[in-house]
Amino acid sequence: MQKPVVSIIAPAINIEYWQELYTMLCAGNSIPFEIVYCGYNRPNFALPENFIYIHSEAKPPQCFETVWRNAIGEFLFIVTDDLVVPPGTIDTLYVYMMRMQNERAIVSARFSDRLEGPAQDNLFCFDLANPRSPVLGCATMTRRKVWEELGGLDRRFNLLWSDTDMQMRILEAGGHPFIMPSENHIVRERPHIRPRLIGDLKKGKPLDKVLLESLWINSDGSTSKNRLDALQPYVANEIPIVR
Amino acid sequence: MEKPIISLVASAIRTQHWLDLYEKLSTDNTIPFEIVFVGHMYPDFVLPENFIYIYSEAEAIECYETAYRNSKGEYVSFFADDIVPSSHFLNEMCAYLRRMWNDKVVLLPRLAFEYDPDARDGKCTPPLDSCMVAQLNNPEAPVVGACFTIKRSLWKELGGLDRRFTHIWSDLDMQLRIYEAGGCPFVSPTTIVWERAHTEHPRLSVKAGAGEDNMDVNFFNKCWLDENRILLKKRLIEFQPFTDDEIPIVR
Repeated sequence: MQKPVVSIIAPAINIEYWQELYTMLCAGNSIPFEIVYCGYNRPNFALPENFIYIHSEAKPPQCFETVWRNAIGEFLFIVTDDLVVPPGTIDTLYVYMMRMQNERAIVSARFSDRLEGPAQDNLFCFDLANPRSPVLGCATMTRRKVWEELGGLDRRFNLLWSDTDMQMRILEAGGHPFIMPSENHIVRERPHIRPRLIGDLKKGKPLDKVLLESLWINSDGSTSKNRLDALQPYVANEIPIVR
Repeated sequence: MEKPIISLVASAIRTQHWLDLYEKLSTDNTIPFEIVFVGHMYPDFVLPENFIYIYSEAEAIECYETAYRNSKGEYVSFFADDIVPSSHFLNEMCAYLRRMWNDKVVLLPRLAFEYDPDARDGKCTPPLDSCMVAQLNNPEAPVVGACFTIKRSLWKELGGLDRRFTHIWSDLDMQLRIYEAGGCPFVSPTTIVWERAHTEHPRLSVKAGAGEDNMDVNFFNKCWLDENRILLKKRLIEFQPFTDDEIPIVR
């Protein structure tokens, strides 16, 4: 297998989309890539050499931590497995990464939560009501070494927002966001064909949001540029390394 | 007059477009703004309070520096008078600027040529995103663009424009100097500027054939290209600012 430059990573359970996404990525990009997915749903089909599946019954952020630690590309492209990624998106993200003068750049595609229509550019903040809350991204590319430097994800997140917290920490460390402006590379979310982790959502969404806000929102409601509590990383024996 | 948040500064001679631009900016933006234009063509109409015209026969780049030094906004946009901005241009640019944690961010709109006055936003020629690069065949050349907006304090910190430029590429030079100082670009995906087709006063633009024989291009190349013509991250020639007595302050 050619050494991947980009590792496309996600906690993943929607196996019915995996082959279609892989085909899409192969057809439209020339940059060597690998996909690393982790979750409890085993695929019932053979995976290509550069498509790595790691079985885990752990919570999604722990799967997320597992995939980046098992990735070997210089760059990480964060996805979910229900996204539609237009042809050429990985190549273009990579081109912009190379053009950034900042090693901690966060380059994103534009994003829409539906299969048609314009991108939803105003969603790129976790605290939209606060005009100083920084620009964040969906479907982001970053350097893997930045994740290593920052110690990975915070183990207290149960379902959501751990990647948002990571983006905030990258910005805190001098990183810079950049959104690819073109309409040709809008990453889209499919309509959900099955309820996703509804039980987890009910307990995880509010708790995770409370945690995120406790880490970044000051008592006066403003967004802090410095994380208000220390990172609690995963310990080595919580994360399987299979490669 | 309400204190402007953003100042659009330019060397400007196409008086026939000025009121169109002002009306476009006034009707769909709530951000307080001012326009500061400097050039040798007196407008033959009354200008609004937040539209400042300064007469000057200086070269274009000196006019830009004059416009900046006479502006008051927290942000400064290196503009032109043949530009048509998309709807809510100022509001959206300012919204992104305020969400940046890096004080040295270079905020760029997307650029398109050949504005069609009869077409609505989005129906004109599409933006030329791939051209927004300082050296297209260099995979590490940074993103740059037209009509960049930065904090006023950053312009001051850099010392303004280099006085050796006369007509073009001083804006590109400034963007590269910002990156050299640790700045980063951000392209607002929702804002577009269209450049009008030129029927008079052809600008010394890339389109108009500013080639190697152009002295501004030559000077830029001496500043930023190595012997293999690769764009550098560090400027080779020391910056020379305009002196105070070269730039009139009228406000």
